Amino acid sequence: MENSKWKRKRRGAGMNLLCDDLQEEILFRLSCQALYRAKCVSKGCNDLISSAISHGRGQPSRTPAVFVYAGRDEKLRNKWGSGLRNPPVNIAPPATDPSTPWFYLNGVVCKLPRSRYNSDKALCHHISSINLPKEDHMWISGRCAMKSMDGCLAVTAYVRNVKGTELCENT
Amino acid sequence: MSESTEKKMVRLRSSDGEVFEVEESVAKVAKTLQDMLEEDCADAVIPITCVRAPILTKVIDYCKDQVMISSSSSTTNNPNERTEQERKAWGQKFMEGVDSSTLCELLVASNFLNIEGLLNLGVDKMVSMIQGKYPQEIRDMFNVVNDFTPEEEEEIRNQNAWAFERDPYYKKRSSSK
Repeated sequence: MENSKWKRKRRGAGMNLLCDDLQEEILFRLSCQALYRAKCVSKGCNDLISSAISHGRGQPSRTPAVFVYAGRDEKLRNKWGSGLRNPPVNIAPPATDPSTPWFYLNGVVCKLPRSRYNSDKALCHHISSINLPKEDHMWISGRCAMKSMDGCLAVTAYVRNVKGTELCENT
Repeated sequence: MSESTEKKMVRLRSSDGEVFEVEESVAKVAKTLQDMLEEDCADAVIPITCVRAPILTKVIDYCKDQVMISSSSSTTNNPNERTEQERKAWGQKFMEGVDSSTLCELLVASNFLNIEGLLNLGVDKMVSMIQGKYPQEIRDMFNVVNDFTPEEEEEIRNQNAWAFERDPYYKKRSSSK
């Protein structure tokens, strides 16, 4: 079951020094584009990314890339909604700090100022402008909404792994 | 009685044999060391077997800074804001000029010693080094061998062609056989 990743060709520290968990930590903080590019670096990288994505790590830092649909395209919303195989994942603020709403986007923790939660539109707009390089925007998919949980505001988002983006490749 | 006010010191030995003497509060920034010290498992000199002296020096610098920040934040009016700003600025400066191999060693060290802040800093630095790079640039940076056959590489590129547009380093290869 051992993955041989990030092989090195000459002496000197490289990615191969890092354990699987650390490599995953790094990979899942990458943008969507960088993640796809990393798949092409070596067989080991490709295996690591593919297997981590398909197994969907439960821990936050191992969460596969998260795609949140931040637009108002009804067609895309419907397509995404009907294409869901897994139930939507509820991403709530941590219980210890309900005043700081956050969610994961592309594996990155995004913190939203509370004021941004005033409307769905503002939230969507804000999500679309967070942490994503321009080239990734077209690959944001899924649907986001917000709801109140015990007086705290939370983001409910449909979450897909990287493969899920294929759903909207033609839109 | 004056001894009780003296700062308790801890000695750490790097993998290459260098011994560092640091304040206990500094050592305790590392959760691994904190556990050892609190459970009385530490010897007179604690061996840090997977960390070389230059890396341990950098790790200690980080820990010293954390101790300094946490002690100064308790005296400010708005500790959260100040700490956040200070951490960000200091973190960037701390990682400035760190090359890829040093960074990997720092990550290993912070992972082993369980220093979450330093680990985060290192991972973010690593991400910033990878972000925006094409596969060949990443291979060069981390000495990774491209073990794909031309067909395999082509297939992966085709699956998500948009991510590889205008890759200046990529020339279609073909198998010799």
